[in-house]
This record gives sequence, structure tokens and C-alpha cells, in this order.
Amino acid sequence: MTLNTDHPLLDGRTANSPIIRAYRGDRPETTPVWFMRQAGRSLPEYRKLREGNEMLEACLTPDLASEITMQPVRRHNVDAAIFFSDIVIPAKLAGVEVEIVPGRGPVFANPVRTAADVAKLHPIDPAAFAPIREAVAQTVAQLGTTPLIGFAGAPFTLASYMVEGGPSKDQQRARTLMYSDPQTWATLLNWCADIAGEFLKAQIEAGASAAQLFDSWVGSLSEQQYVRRVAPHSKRALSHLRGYDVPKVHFGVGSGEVLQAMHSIGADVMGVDWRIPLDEADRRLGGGVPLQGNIDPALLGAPWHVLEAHVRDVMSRGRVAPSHVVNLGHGVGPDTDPDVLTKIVELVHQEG
Amino acid sequence: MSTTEFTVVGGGIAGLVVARRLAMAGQTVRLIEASDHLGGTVASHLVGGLNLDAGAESFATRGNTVADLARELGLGDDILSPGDEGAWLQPVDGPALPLPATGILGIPATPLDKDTIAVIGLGGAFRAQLDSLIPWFGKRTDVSLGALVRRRMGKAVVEKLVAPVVHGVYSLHPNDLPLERVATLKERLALHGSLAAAVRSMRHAMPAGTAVQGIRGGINRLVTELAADLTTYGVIVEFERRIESVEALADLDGTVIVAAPGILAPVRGRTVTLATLVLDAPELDAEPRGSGVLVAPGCTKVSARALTHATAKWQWLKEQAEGRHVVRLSYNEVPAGDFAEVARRDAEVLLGVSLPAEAVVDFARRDWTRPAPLAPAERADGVVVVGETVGGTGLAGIVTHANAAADRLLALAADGPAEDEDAAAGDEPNEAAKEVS
Repeated sequence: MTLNTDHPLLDGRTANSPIIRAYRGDRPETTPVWFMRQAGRSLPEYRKLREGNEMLEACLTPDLASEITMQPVRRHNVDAAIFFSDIVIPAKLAGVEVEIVPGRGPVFANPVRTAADVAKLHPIDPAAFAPIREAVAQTVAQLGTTPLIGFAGAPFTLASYMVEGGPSKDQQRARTLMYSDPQTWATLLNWCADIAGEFLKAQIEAGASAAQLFDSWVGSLSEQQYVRRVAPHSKRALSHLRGYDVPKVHFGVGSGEVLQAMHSIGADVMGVDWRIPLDEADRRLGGGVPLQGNIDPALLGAPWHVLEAHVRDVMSRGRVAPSHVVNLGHGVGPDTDPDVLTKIVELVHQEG
Repeated sequence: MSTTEFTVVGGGIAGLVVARRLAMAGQTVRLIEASDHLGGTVASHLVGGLNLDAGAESFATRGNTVADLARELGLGDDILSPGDEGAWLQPVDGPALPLPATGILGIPATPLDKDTIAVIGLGGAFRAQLDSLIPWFGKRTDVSLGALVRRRMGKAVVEKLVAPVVHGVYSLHPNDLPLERVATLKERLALHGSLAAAVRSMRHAMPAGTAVQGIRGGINRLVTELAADLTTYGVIVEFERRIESVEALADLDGTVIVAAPGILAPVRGRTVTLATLVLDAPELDAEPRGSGVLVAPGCTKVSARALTHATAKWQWLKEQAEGRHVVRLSYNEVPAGDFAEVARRDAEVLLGVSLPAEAVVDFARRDWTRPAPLAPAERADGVVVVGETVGGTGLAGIVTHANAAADRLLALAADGPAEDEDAAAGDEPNEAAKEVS
């Protein structure tokens, strides 16, 4: 399978954009920048738009999802849009009962903990992604030469939510299942990999120019656990993009121990959290891998001169890698002053 | 999805190992299993509330093949060596005696030590000591182990020491065991000039630690992990489909790997029956027979060929059993009558303690067919075969052979023909020998 000829990557719109060049290891004249969770909760215009709309319903309403995706592009002048959605959307579209509880996160009505629970999960019908395709198409039509990044939650993070029933401190139930019933674990992660992979595929086919796999909870795993019980499934998720020549970014929080393993599943670019500096990440990856990151989100609330020095340090360390896309080391917090983000974009673009 | 590149017929350990390696290398693999579960003779059963190995319960450490597999499967921290209690011997007459600990296949390293004298008598021991005086010319190569030991150490050593052990390991009388099958014995004999010295040097050359190891929770955990990996790597497993003949292989997709007996040739072989007893018997706390007892051929006191005191052999099982005892007996032939009762009485005799019927918490019987090696004429051209019929007895041989087969298939898939030789398959202690080794 290949992309349609009218895809933004093929029709000249985004292939030479700074961020796509950087993702492909070709350092552009100006360092590109975007922020994880730039769309959503930190923006007053988002909060206004969301009034009276439930989170996941907003994700599945093409007009809303598209508009929310566009808001930070207009406001911050970032180099890419990140599709506004949630990692549990494919699970919901596959018929799993889940909602986002404000202040808590995704909550699954029926946690998945046994072979019988896993057996009840149905494969997803690609037609279920129609609202996603529609929202992506609408967004891409407005973005012009700014690329849209599609995303999905990695199987481990998604499965952790499903096993725990919601957010948890250290994913202990999920990690226990890995050992108490490895086959059920593998079956569940394959299911998660397939729905996440199809979610990514729908976004790419509808016009996204890059894909990012988020493994937010990967930091709770040992390298051995990751390599043996998780990585093959993350690889399986990305394998749904086989044939599509789009850059693939892999990001995890607390990924220092598993950086190389996360790269080896077929990622082109590694997202790095704030715990290790980019030059160290480059060393751990053996050099040659484009990096994305890693402004400490905690510093977004620090005095500007402190944050500015930190951003310059991040950029200077990022020069070790073949190319660098500035981002945060994790998502934008709900209390972040959006003007700070705008200033960071100005600084990064001015630094070059 | 893509078409099947490999079909593995048989979900025993060899089939699982091959399917996993092929799938991990990115090949599309289908596995067909005649029963409703995977693992073959590596199986588990619940006896007296304890999850126990129902077939193989240890593996040879030779070559580290199985330990390496276990480590790959995340079981590295759970590989354990058995306790060093030593095994006992049940002679034809008289009570059980400790098996001299320093010998090889029952051949004594020091014929005049007290354990050896206890088994073969002082006269037999002096005769055995003559071994150090008889020159070794090494002319004859076709000699059996039994003939060699008889000439150098006398009949008592052959019948009372070597025969029970060799029978346990190879299911053969020493007179039927070609010397070549005992690795390096002939070479060391030529080098050292006497059998006892050859045995001492073989002992010395053995790696530290035991000849067999186990896994906390049982060898069957290998199957759980292998099966999970098949799921992880997307192998399609089809249960309850039996492939009966070579002709039926033609209907299967991709390159076919035969990993089950009975397809290329009718299953020939012998049946080994295992009786497992879970006992509430505090008298066994003292572990009166160490890790177990080997029974001399011709002994009519019991029908069993060997007994393993599993809770004495495996510390993890002892902890899990919480004061109860697990005893496993193996039979080449099942005697008539109530088998549970036969096993209880045999255990009583072999362990030398009274085990009343009320001491038996639970009993289980499992029958295993040990297929005979496939004859060269039975190998169909171009059909890749793995498993016990070609890989030798024992997990180490089977896994080594299966790994090599998978490597060859992958090399072939990558860049045309590779060598078409089977990996060196060796004999290793079979079930009965592992019972006590």
C-alpha cells in the first residue's frame, strides 16, 4: 500500500516542511518546534469550545476535533499540528465502555483482567474510524504546508489503563498480569496494537504527515520486561503503517532505560522526556537518530530567564543529533500560561 | 494478512521452539496441534492441589541449550539445581543402598570405597580393583559397555551397579550399549589405562554443578512462555487438527516442518507410565532415599523402575508442598490390578517407610509414549523434521536440534540453500534416569 497522490506528503505541501525534514534526519535551517498536548486544556479558546461537550464526544465530532487541533497552530505558530484526540478513542470505537472523568483520566467500566475478559474484545471495524478520517481531512485542508502529526497510544499504555480500569500509580496490576498469565497479556496487547495501528493508519491515510506512538507508562518497566513483553506489540502497532513512507516518532515517559529498545521497533525519531539530556539520549542511541524534546514542563512556570536558558541548553545539546525537533519532555499541563509557549516558539525559531 | 510461509505440525517443545524462532524472525507461521493444548510431554497436572510437571521435570545442563532458552523466556532467575542428596539403588535382593556418588553410569571411581563394597561385597570390590592392574590395549572398538566393565571390573560391578544405572539412563542392559555411546569413556580409558581412572577424569572434567536443572514452578513453565511468545509474534495456532500422513502434508501452506511422531512413520516406541503420589507422611521428612531410588533390572520386589522423591530433589517444591511429600514412580510396564495401590506399595518398599492408604492425599497416572528414532529410510525427501524422533531423547537434544533446524530454514528463506545436515543429536539421560539423577 502507498499513500494517495493527493496526500500532503506527496503533493508538495509538507514533504519539505522543516519538521518533516528534521524527522527524516535532514537538519533544516530553522529548528522546528511543537508541543505535546498543545491542543486542548491550556487554551482558553479550547475551554470555551468544550463547554457542554464531553471530552470523547468532542474527539468524535469532526468539526470540534478539527477546530481544537487548529487552535494552537494559529496561536503559537508551531511547526506542526497534533491531532486532537485521546489514546482510548480506538478502544471506544471498538465497543469498549470508557469515559474521560475530569480530573482523573480515562476510566473503563469493565477492567480487562482475565482471558475471558480479553476474549470479549472484538477486532475493530475500520469503518468505525470515519469521524477520525473526516476530522483529519478537514484539518489538513486548513493546515496548508503545516504538517499534521497523527498519534496513538502504545499497546502497553493502553492495556495498562484497561487492566487497571483507569490511571494508576505504577501499573502494578498490568505488570502482574504480564507474569501471571503471559498469554492473556500477549493477546490483550495484540488487540491494543491492532486498534492503535488502525487508528494511526486512519489518520495517515486521511492526510497526517507523521505518526507518533505514545508509551506514557513505559517508565514503570524494566528493560527486560519491555523487550520481552511489550516491544513486539509496539512493533506490531507500527506494522499497520507498512508501505506508508511517513516518519514515525516513538515517545515514552521515563524511557531512559529503554530508549534503544523503543527505537529498535521501527521508529525513525525518538521523543525524549526531561529526565536525560539530549546529548545523553544521543549517546544511548548510538548516534544517528533524530531526536525530539525535551524541555522540562515544570520549567514552563519558572521565570522567563530560567526557562530561556533551559531552552537554549536543550537546543545546544540537540545539535549532537543529526536533527532535532524541539518539544516538551511531556505534555503541556492544564495550568500552563499559553503565552509562555508562544514565546518558546519565537525563541526557537529565532535561534535557528 | 500475508500468506503462511511456514506450517509447523505438532505443538510439542520442538514445534514450539521452531515456530517461535521463525515468527520472531518475521516469518508468517501457522502451528497445527492434534490435541487441545501445547507442550507435548512437557505438561503439568494438578495433584493434591499442587501444580506438578506431568512429564519431563528437569533438563540436562549440557550445552546450556535449555537454560539459554529459559533465560530468553524470562525464566532465568528461576533456573534451579536439584539438591545434592544423592540417589539410592534397589538391588535384586536386600534393602536399598546408597549409589556410590563418585561413579559414572554406576562404574565406581574408587572400587574399594565403603558405598561400593556395600553394594557389590568385598570380593566384588577386590575384583573391581584389578582394573588398575589390567593393561588396556584398546584394540577392539565394537565392544559393549557391559563386556568392557565385566572384563576389567568383574560381573558384580556390571550386574549390581552398572546395569541399574544404565537401564535407568538408556533403557538398555550394558551388554547392549555400544561403548561409543558413552561420550569420551573410550578415549579417557586409552589415556589413563584403567576404567576407574577414566571415570575419575570424566568426573573431574564435568562442569561444576549438577548434570540436570529444573525451573521453579516446574519445567512446564517453558510451555506457558513459549505459547505466550507465539501469541506475541502472531503465530496462528490451530488445535485439534490431526495430520495423519505424509500425503496430508501436501495440503498445508508454505514450508512444512514435521514436529510430531506418527506422520512419516507409524509411532513405534515404548510407553513410560508415571505414577505421582502426594503423601502426608512425616517419616519422609528425613528423606530416607535422598533424591530417589533406581531399581536393578530383575528386581521383583517392585514393579517400578525408578522413584523420585520430588520434594527432596527440588527445594522449591518442598516449600510449595508445605510439609507434604511428592513421590513419582516410573514404570515400563504397568502391572495388573489397582495401579494406585501398586504405586503406594512400591513407594513403601523403595522408600523403606510405612505408607498406609490414608497417607495418600492424591494419586495421578500419566502414560507417555517415547517414540523410537526415525529410520533413515523413513525420512521423506525435503521434509524438515524436528522432535524426539530425530533430536535424541531429552529436552537439551531436542531444543538444540530444533534451534538448528530453525536457523537453517531462516538461512534458506534469506538466501537460498544452506547445509542440509541435522545438528548433532546426542542421547541424554531419559525420563527414568532423570528421576534420580
